[in-house]
Amino acid sequence: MSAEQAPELGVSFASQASYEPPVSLGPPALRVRHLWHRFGHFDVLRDVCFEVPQGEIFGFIGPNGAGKTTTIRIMATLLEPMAGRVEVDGIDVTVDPEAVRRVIGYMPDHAGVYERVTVREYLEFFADAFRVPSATVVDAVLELTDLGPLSDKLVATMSKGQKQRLQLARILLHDPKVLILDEPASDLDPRARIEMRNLLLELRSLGKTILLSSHILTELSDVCTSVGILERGRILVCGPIGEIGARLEAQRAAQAIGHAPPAAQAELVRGAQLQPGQVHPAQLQSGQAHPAQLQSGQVHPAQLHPGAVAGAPLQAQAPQPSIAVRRRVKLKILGQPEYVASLLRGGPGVVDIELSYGMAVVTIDGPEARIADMVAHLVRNNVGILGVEQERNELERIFLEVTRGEMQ
Amino acid sequence: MSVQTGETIPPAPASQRAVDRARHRIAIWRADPNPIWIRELRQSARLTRTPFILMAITMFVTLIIAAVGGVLSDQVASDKVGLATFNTFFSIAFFLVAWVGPALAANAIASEREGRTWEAVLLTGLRPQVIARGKFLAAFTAIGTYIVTLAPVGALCFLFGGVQALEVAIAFVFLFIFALLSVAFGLALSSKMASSRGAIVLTLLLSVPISLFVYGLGGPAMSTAIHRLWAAVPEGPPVWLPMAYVRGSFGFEYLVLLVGLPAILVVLPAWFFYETTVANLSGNNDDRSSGMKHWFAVSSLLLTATAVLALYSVPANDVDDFGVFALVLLSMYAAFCAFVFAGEPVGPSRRVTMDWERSGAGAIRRFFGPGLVRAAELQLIGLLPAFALTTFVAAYILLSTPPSSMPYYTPKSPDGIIRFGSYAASFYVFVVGAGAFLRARASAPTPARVLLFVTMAAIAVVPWIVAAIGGAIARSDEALAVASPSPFFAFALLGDSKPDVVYLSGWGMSALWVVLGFTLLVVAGRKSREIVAKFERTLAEAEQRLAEEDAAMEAALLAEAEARAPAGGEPQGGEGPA
Repeated sequence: MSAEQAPELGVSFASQASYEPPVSLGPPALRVRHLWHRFGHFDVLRDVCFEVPQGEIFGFIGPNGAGKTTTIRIMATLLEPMAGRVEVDGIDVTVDPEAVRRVIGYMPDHAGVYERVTVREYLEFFADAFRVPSATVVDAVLELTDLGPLSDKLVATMSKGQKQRLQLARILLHDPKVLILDEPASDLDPRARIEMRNLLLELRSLGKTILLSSHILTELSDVCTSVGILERGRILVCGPIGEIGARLEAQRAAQAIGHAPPAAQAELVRGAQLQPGQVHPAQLQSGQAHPAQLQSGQVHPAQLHPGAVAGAPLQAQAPQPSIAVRRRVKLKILGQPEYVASLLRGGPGVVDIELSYGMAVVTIDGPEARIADMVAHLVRNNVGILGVEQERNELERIFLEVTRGEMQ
Repeated sequence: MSVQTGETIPPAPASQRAVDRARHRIAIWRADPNPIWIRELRQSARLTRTPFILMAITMFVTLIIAAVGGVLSDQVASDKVGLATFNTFFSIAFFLVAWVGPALAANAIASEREGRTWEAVLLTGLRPQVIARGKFLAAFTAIGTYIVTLAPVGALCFLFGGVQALEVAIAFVFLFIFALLSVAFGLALSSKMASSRGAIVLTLLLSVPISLFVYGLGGPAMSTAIHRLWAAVPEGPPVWLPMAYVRGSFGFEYLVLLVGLPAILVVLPAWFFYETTVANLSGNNDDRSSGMKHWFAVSSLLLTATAVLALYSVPANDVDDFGVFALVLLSMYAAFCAFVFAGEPVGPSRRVTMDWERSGAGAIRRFFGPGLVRAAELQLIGLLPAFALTTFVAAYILLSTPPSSMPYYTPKSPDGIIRFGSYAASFYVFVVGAGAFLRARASAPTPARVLLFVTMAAIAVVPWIVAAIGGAIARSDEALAVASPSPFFAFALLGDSKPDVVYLSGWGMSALWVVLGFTLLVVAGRKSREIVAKFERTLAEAEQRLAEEDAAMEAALLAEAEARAPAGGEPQGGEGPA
């Protein structure tokens, strides 16, 4: 921010919403704190706070004009925040943008490519521009993105999906830790989308942290480990999809028995600010945290004993109602659905069972391990299982529930 | 290594001799050329229309030269034919370079923005300077190809006689120099534009009249003046400069007119275009001021030195006219710079401040950095002495030249040029003050520049209209005094035949401009300081809040560790059992 922008800013920190720093073991790959930005007299971003831990695929969602691209451009050092701090891999984007550029790979929405060069020439140029020390990097990236067979093809003759993969190859050349992708699957056909999704999962397995902005929620729920929903320049909710869904469910339940007025529902969720990769203390108390999360260190020791720790971060979380992760699981079965229902009804965590021909949709509270237990139980009772699938529309439900459809 | 060329960068030489280091630099440049240049060359190589365009232009020029040569060969001597074809060829080549060069360059950066490839390049970490040089080299290579293709046609000229081979060679060198300036000009415009078409149209709209003006003034008009100095240089033809280098007699004038002046006229605009391009390619929060301020400091110094040297080299009879001419040129340059610096940010951004702190920047570097008040101070420091020195030297020469020193010399009073110089300098103080004031109150550079332009235009024109009406009513020369606020009133202060009230109003207005200028500057400074202080307060508040959050976080972690210590027993962090 330049000095001249200060008078128009009108930022009062006293009035900002309380932001509780997350409890996390490693340094976050992306850390956005009290971010404000203004275009003219219009606040595009208002006190945006969130974090993305290392190795996550973070879905950044919001209606058009919510401020997603502005946030992303600030992270990518293309805009300087007017207030607040954005850190990428611990480096402040304002203080050392050159260093940030070395650790990020940014793919803008509808980015262009040079048309009159071949795929290899295109990547060679960017390899030189990134000061990549070896030509073998280009080959490695071509292989990773499955562009090897197209290396001598002119970029102008490539399909949109191939060009999008080329863009992804470009931002991988300097081996960045963090990938920031703004609408990477826009305008792609279904096959190209699937390829892109698989590529993102592969990149995550290579240890990359990915921030992904998209409008296609089903696509995000397939790949994202956590999401942040932005509306009118404010983060409404942030955290793993299942946990946000469970929190909303719990709040609905509380509202039903008169604990929370309807208007406050979204505010409650906003206040939650669960960070990606974190498990809510309530889950741990009820034994609902997945063991994998404990092993991988995603659960901070402090969360194991929330009542024992004093201090702002955890005090805010303590009064939350006890919640559980609720899932809807589709079971394709051989045999009578009614028999399946009789086997499952009253089982641990089973909330509801809907039956249709050859299928049972089971609503179940608790960790994913319960699904495995449920399937094992059915198999032990000689029920043929043709398929098990978790319903993927949770993100859409969350999105519709927490956003108000307001445009900036 | 360069991945594009496949070359490995040679290791640095053990020797620290300048020659070895220069060789190493050349080796690096060859092994690891500008990546943007190489990529653009690869792209250009696939442009199938280029050979056809080159062929068409060459054929067109050949036909014209053949036609001119054919028509003239029956009417005049062979050497005249050679001179005519020489002038025809290089005139065409000049316009080709002056129009095609900027158009080629205009496409360079604007097309990246239009094609949405710009951000990808920017995020590679390539510095704006490297990008600017790569784009320049690409466009210069393209226009260079045009010139090289035309070279055989141009070489025909000296076969007829009338011009020497060396003159043709020098003319080609100048063609490349004009190409350099044209490309730099096109690139500077392109760096500001977001649309290729817009950039090309704007570039052509500007380059056509500018090139016609330069051709007219620097061609036939200058050849007449040069012919008076060196009779061997033909009078009238537009392409006289290469002949002046070969036929002019070596001396002080030769050094000033053919070495010093061309160097200044090439280096200063080229440097300005380069800094403009780099500034436009840099982010809003990067240091976009230092380069331009360095250019201003050096160019002001060079222009002042040139003005003073030129005053000493012209005959005493012409000193008053040349002094006014030099002051007018200085005023135009000063006004131009005032508009350039009217876009200066109020203060350095956080990014720049952090960079200064990290690198331990000294006072001089900070002075040349972004900042409105610093820019205004630099303008006054850079050009007020230039006005004063030029006026003083002209007046001194007029006063100190004895009547008998040269034939037909009429002693002249220095009063006119002193009044002119004083008024010009005073008005400049006002322009700088007004520019700073408007910028301090505007939220962006463009409104400040527009307001400054409107203000200056109104001040320049309105007093003359009022004076004309007043003069018509009063039927007196004294009504001229009403026009005193206009900067053009300085011309009315020359000579000694006007009513005293005109001169008095001139002095009065000069004083008023100085007072107004400094007042506006003080107000602008106060406003800037307020803005910077508010910005720093906001920043400090934000930092404090973030620090508090960090402290709370640390306290929470510490408390957690303490709470777990007695219960946990075994210290954590050690290697567990396999």
